[in-house]
Amino acid sequence: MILNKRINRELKENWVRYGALAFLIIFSLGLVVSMAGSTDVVNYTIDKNNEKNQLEDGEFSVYVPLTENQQQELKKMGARTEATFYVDIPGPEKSVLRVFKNRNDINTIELEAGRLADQTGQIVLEKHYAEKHGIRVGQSIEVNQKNYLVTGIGTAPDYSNVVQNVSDVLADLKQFSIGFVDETEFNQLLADNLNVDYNYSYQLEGNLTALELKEKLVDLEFDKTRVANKYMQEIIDTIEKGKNDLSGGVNKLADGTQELANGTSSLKQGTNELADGAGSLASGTDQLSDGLEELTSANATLNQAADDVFQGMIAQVNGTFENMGMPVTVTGDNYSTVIDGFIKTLDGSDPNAVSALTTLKTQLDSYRAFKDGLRDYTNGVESAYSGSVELSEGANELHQGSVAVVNGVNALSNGSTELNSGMGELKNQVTNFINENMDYQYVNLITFLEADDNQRITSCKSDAAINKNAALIAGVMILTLIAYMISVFVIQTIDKESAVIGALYSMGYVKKELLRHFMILPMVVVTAASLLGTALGFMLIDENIKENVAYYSYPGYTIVFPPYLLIYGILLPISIALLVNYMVINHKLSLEPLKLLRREKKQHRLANVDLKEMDFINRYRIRQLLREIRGNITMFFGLFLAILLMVFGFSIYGSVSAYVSNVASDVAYNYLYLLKYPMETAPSDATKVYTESLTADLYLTGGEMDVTVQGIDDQNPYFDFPLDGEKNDVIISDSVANKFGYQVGDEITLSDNLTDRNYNFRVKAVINFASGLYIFMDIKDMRELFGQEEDYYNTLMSDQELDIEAGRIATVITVDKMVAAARQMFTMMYGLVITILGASVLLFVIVMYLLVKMMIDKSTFSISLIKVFGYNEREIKKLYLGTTFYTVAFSTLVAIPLSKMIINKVFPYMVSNVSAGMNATMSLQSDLIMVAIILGAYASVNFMISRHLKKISLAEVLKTRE
Amino acid sequence: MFIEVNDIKKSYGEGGSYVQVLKGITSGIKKGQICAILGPSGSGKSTLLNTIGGLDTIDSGSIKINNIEISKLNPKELSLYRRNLLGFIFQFYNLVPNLTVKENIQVCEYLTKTPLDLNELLEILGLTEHQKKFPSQLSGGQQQRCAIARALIKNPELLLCDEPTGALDYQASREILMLIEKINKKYGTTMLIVTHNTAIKEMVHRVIKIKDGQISEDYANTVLKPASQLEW
Repeated sequence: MILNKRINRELKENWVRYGALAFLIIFSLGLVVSMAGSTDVVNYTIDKNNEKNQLEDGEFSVYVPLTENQQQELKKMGARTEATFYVDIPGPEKSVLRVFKNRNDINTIELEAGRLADQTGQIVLEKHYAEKHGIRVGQSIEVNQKNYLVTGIGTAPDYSNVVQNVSDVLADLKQFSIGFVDETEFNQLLADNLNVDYNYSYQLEGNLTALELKEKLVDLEFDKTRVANKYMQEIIDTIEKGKNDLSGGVNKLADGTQELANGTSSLKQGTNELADGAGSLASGTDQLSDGLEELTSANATLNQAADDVFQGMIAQVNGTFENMGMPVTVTGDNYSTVIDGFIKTLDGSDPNAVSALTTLKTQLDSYRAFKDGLRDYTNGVESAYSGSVELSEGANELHQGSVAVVNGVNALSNGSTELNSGMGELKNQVTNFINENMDYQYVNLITFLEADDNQRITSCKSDAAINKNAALIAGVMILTLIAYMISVFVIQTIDKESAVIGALYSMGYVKKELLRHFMILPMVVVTAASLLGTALGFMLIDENIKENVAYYSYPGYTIVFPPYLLIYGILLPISIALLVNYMVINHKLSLEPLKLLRREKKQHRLANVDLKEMDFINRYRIRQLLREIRGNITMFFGLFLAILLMVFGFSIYGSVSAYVSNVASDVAYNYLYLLKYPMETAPSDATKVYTESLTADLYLTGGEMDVTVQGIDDQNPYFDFPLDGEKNDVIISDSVANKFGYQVGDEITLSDNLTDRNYNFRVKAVINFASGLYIFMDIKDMRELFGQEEDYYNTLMSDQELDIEAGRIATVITVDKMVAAARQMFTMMYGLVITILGASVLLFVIVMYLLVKMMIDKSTFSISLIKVFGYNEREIKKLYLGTTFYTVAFSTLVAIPLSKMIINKVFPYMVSNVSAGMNATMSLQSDLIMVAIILGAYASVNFMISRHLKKISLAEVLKTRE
Repeated sequence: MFIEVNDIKKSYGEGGSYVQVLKGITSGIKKGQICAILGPSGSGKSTLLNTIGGLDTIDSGSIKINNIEISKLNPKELSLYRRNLLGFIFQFYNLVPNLTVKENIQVCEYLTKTPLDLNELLEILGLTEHQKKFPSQLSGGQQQRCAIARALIKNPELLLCDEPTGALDYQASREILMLIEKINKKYGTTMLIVTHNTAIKEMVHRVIKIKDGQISEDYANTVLKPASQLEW
C-alpha cells in the first residue's frame, strides 16, 4: 500500500519522539531482560551444577556417626547418605575455614582450577575465599597452624550461599568459607579437634519421604558410649548419674521398708506382752485396793484403842503420883518433861524412884510410840488405799491403752507388710521405668534440614527470583505505559491528519486498511525496540550477573536464551502495543468520514467546567490542561511510574541504611555465644540466656523461616523491656513483626521441626531490634515450656570476649559482624538502587518531554495565534508550560504517598528471602532529594520545550487550519 | 438517470438546536454530465453532496446512484460504493502531507484494479514535473490538481467536488475548472460541483440552485461556455 510510504517519513519527521520511545523500550527491556536473564542464567547454572554434582535432598547431623550397617539400612529404605563431617578451624586473617573431606557421591566438588587434594597437607578452597585472600592454586595457606598446599579452587553445591549458620543473614566471604582435604588429612584433623560436626548429606530414592527418613533417624539405635565429644559425654554422664542415683535410691528405699516390716513385727509381739502384763497389773491393783480398803476401815478403831491405852497409862501414872503425894498431873504431851524433872530432882537421892520413874517414862514412851506408829500406819494404809485406787484406775487405763497399742501395732505391722510388698512392686516398676525410659538412646539426630529449607542451597536462586519477578512486573508496567504513549502520539497524528483520513475514507478506503496503516509505525518501532532491547538485555547479563556471581558460590555460568524471555522481550511488547494501539486507533478511526473531514472533535465534558471568576492566566492554563486531558492523564501515569520507581530506589536505600544503623544501635551486647554444650557454671561476667531456634510460617513465600526465641530475665542488662505477663507471652522484635506480619495481641504458633512440636505464644509487645529475627520471653517460662531445668541456659551475652572452650561454642555473633553483614547488604543493593534511580529519572524526563512536546505541537496554531496577538515568550511559557506544572505538581503530590503505600506493601515480598524484617523506609532527606530530582527534571524539560516554543512561527496561523 | 435524488430530507440537532438542512430535494443527473450546485452558505448544498457521496445519511427520501439505493447501504457497503464509483475533491485538498504528489495519487490508484494511466494523468494535470514534490512544496492550485489526479486515478464514474476552487486564486481556479472540463470530456466522468462561484454555472450541463434546503432553480444548459472563457 503506497500509503505506507509515509511511515518512513513520519518516523524521520518525529525521530526524537519515536527515538525517545524506542530508547525507553530498549532501556527498560534491556534492564528487565538482563535482570530476568541473569536469574535464568543463575538458575540454569545452579541446576546444571546441582545435577552434575549430585546436590543433596537434605542433610542431617548426629552425635555419633552412623554405623556402616545403619547407613546400609537407610540405603535399603531409599536414602543414600554420605558423611560430610566437618571441623571449623582458624584460617588466615582471623577467618574460619570449615574443612570437609573430599566428597564421592553427594554434593561433589566442582573444581574451577587445579585438582582435588589427594595427599595430606593439601587443600581445595572455595573460590570466593581464595579470591578474597589472594590465594591461587599452587600457593600455600596456613590453616589451624599448619601449612597446606592449595591444589584446587572450586565450589560445592550445598554451599552456594557460603554462610556459617543456616540462619545467618549474609555471608562474609572473607571471614568464613569451606575447604576440602583428603580423608587421611581429615582424620588427622579429627584427632586434633574434638568439635566435629557429624553431618550427613542424603539423597532420596523411590517413594521414601524426608519425613519418613527423619522418623527413622530418630529411631536409630545409638551407642552413647561412643560419643566422642567430651562435652556431650559430660551431658550423658550427668543424665546417667541421675539414672543411677534413682535406681540406688529405690533400692535403699526397699531395704528400709523391709527393715520397717521386721521392726513392726517385733513391736507387735512386744505390745501383745505389754497388753497381757497391763491386764495382770490391773487385776492386782484391784485386789490391793480392796485389801487396803478393808484395812482402812479399821484404822479409826485401832487409833482410838491405842489412844485409849496411852491415856490409861497416863491416868495410871497420875494415880501413882497422887498416891505418892506428888502434886502433879501429867498429860500425854508433858509426861516426859515432868518425869524428867522428877528424875532430875531425885537424882542421887532416891535411885529406886529414879529407876521407877525412868521405867515409867520408858513405858509411856513406848505406848506413845506405838500410838503414833499406829497412827502413821493407818495414815499410810489410807494413803496406800487411795494410791491403790489410782493405781487400779491407771492399771486399767494402761491395760486399755496397751490393747489399743496392740491394735495399732497390729495395723502398723499389717501396713508395713503391705508397704514392704508395695515397695517391692515400686522397685520393680522403677527398675522397669529406668530400663524402659532411662536407657537413653538419646536420639542421635541433632539437626535435619531438607534442601528446600536450606538457605545455603536455596537463597541464590530465590534471591535471583525476587529480582526477576520485580523486574518482569516493572517491565510490563513500563511497556504498557510506552505502548499507551505511542498510541497517544498516533492519535495526535490521526487528529492532525483527520481531514486526510476523512478524504481517504471518502475515496473508499475502509477502516481496516487505515487501521493497519496507522498500526504499522508503532508496531515497527515497538518491534525494533523490543528486538534491540532484548538483545541488549542478553548482552547486559554479564554486567548484571556480576554481583550475584561475586556473592554466591557456583561455577562459571553460560548464557541461556529461555523461550519465555524471548516471548517476554519480543512478543509481549509487540502484543501490548498491538492491543493498546488497536484499541485506541480503532476507536479513533471509527469516527464518521464527515466528522474526520470537518475535524470534529468530541468536546470532553470537563472542558465545559465553570471556572467562575478565575484570573485569565490560570483559566487559560486550566482550559489548556482540560483540552489536553488525555495527554495529561498519560503524563500522570508516566510520572507516577517514574516516581514509583524513584520511591522504590530510595526505599531500598533507606531501609538498608536504617537496617545497618539499627543493627548497630539495637544490639547492646558485644558478644553473643550460642553454646552447643553449656558449662555448669557460666562465667560471672556473662549474662545467661536460653535460645531455641523455631520456625514460623512466612505468608510472603508460603514457606517457613527460622526465628530465634530467646529467654531472658529481668536483670538482663542488654534489654530494658518488662517481661511480666502470662507464661506464653512473648515480646517480638520489629524485625519479626515486619517479616511475619505479627501484631500485639496475636496468637502465634512456632514449630520445632525436629521434634514436630508446635508452640503457641501471644505477642505482648513489639520492640526495636533490627538484627535477625528474634522473639523474647521470660527465661523461667521458657525453661518450663521447653522442659529444661531451672538454671538451664545455652547462650551467653557479654560486653567482653569470653574465655570459653571452643568445643562448647556453636556460634559467636559479634555486633561488628552483624553490622559488617548489614553493610555488605547495603553494598550489594547499591548498584540496584543507582540503576533504579537512573531509570526513574530517565523515564520521568522522557515521558514528560515527549508528552509536553506533543501537547505543545497540538497547540501550535494557538501559540502562533497568541504570538500574533502580541504575547511575549515569557507569557506564552507561562500559559503553556504552567499547565504542565499543574500536572507535574499533582502527579508528585499524589504519586509520592501512593507510591510509598504501594512500596510498603510490596517491599516485604522483595526481601522475603532475607532473614530479617525490613520496612520500606524513606528519610526526609530522601524525600527532599526526590522532590529536587523531580523539580530538576521538570526544569530541564521546561528548558528544552522553551526552545521549541521559540521556534513556533507566526506564519503557522496562516498555513494551519484548526 | 445516473443520479436520482428523490425528496430527500436531512436535519441536525434536537429541540432548540434542530435545523432541517434539506427539506425535500428531488432531482436527477444524467451520466457524463457536469452539474453545479449553487447556493449561499448554509443552504444545504454541501450536505446534498455529502449524502450523495455516502458520507452523510438522510432522514427520508432516496438517493440512487447508477440504480444503487445508497441510503440503504451499511457503512461497509458505503465504503465499497465510494471505492468503486466515487472520486472526491475538497476545498482544502486533504493531501497526505508526507507523501509526494505521485504517491498521493497512488494512494487512490491502490483502490482500483483498473486505474487510469498515472503518467498520462500527471501529464494532463501538469504535475509531471512536480510528481516528486510534497504537498507543502506546492502552490494551492498545484495541490488541488494533485487532489483531482488522486480522485481521478481510479477512474470514478462520479466525481464529487466540494468547493474545488474555494481556496484558490482566480488563475488557479480557472486552471482547475479547465481541468475539470477536460477530464469530463476525456473520461466522461459525471461530476457534481458544489461551489459559491456562480461563474461555473456557465460551463456545466446542469445547474441546481439551492436555497434554504430546497431547490430554488434547476435547469440544464444547452450551450456550454468553455472554462477558459469564464470570468468572475
